[in-house]
Amino acid sequence: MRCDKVKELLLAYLDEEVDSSDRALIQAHLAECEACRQELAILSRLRERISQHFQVQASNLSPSPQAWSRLEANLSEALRLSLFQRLIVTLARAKQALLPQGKLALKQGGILAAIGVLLVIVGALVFIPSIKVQAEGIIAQWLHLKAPAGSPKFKIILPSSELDFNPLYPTYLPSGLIYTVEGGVRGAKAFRQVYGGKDWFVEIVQLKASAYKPLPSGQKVSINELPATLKTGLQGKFKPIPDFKMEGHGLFLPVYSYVNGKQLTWYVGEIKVEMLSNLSVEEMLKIAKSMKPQERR
Amino acid sequence: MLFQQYKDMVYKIAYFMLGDAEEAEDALQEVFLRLYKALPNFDSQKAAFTTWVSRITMNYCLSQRRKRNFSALSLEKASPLLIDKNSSPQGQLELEEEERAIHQALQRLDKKLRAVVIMRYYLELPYAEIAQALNIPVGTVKSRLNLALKALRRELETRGVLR
Repeated sequence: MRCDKVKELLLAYLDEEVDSSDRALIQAHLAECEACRQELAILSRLRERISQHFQVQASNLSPSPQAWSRLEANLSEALRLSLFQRLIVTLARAKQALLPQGKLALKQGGILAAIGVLLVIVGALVFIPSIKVQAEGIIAQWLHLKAPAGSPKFKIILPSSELDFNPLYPTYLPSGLIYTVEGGVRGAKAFRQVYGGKDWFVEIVQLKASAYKPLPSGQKVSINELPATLKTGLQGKFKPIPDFKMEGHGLFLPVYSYVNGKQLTWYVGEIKVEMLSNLSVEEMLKIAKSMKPQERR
Repeated sequence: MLFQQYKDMVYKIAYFMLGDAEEAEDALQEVFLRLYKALPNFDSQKAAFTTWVSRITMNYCLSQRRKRNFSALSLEKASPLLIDKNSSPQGQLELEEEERAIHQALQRLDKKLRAVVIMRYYLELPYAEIAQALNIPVGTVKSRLNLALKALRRELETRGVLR
């Protein structure tokens, strides 16, 4: 092997990144070439000095103590924006999908205008006051932190300012609670709550009842001495937030397939309450009995 | 926890790449935002987690334009070792001077060359992992390292650091 070729390979040789045949050739050349041995020594010193420099410097370097709190704020902001952007894209796609093919070009101006209007509406109605994702909970979920026993890992609050009644909240929930979703649905005339763990969920929908208060057919049960009906053997799939794709937001809400779901329906004063769950009847009744009004949040 | 485990590594790579503590702090934030977003896409079959973290950090640093001219850095910023110059004995001063010279020589390197030097001589990654992390052939890693060390040698010999 010639000197120029050896010199080209010396660094890889020192880094133990040459194959065995090249290694043997280099060693044979070095045994006979003083100039290349000197080159090797210089390169070796340089290499070691650079490594030493990094080690010395690194031992004195550390990020500021505020880095984590700054990141928490940045993560929650990123998540908020991400949810918003996703919503806009979904709405824009839905709008396009609704248009007949071939008329797309003609309606481009309309689409842009519609998206513009949607931006304003969504910004005003949804983005600013509504999806108040509690940052510490979401971040805890992202980082797979263990939440304290009995408290959800994260909570999603959807708007419910249009609600014309004071909803009830359960004061008892089974152990293993991971998340809660609360907010107005059906044009904010109803209030929907979802509480979930890894394998279980409870969905509670409350709405203002009319004077006529019929109960659906089913097994008659009693909740705090109020009549209720129970349906069992329900089957289906349950998504905590039905119309929103959660992937990509760090929100890994499970989708539950249930084969023995139960539905409980009863009235508390002016409120009709419907509870759907894959929990046992006993647990559902316990949750139902624990429901109490709170200060409007 | 991801942040606790990798914050030092990310911060130090960013500091070595960007040459400035404030820029390294900003990089730490941006890199962790990217890490959390990309986490569901991490494939342990394709790369070790450390390599993946270093890849995201390097990609961020390589995309950054330097906000400050490193030659304008104060001594303290250029080398965190320079804590108390007045009380340093002669040997310590010389060592600090050398450290500063190496820091500046590294900062003068083209950032692509600096990246391979950091990955090899700070992170001690094998060439194949550096190639994977930077998405370049192993031959390019070799040639960049050769070029980088040639440039560093020239600079440090001129300054009398490499004796």
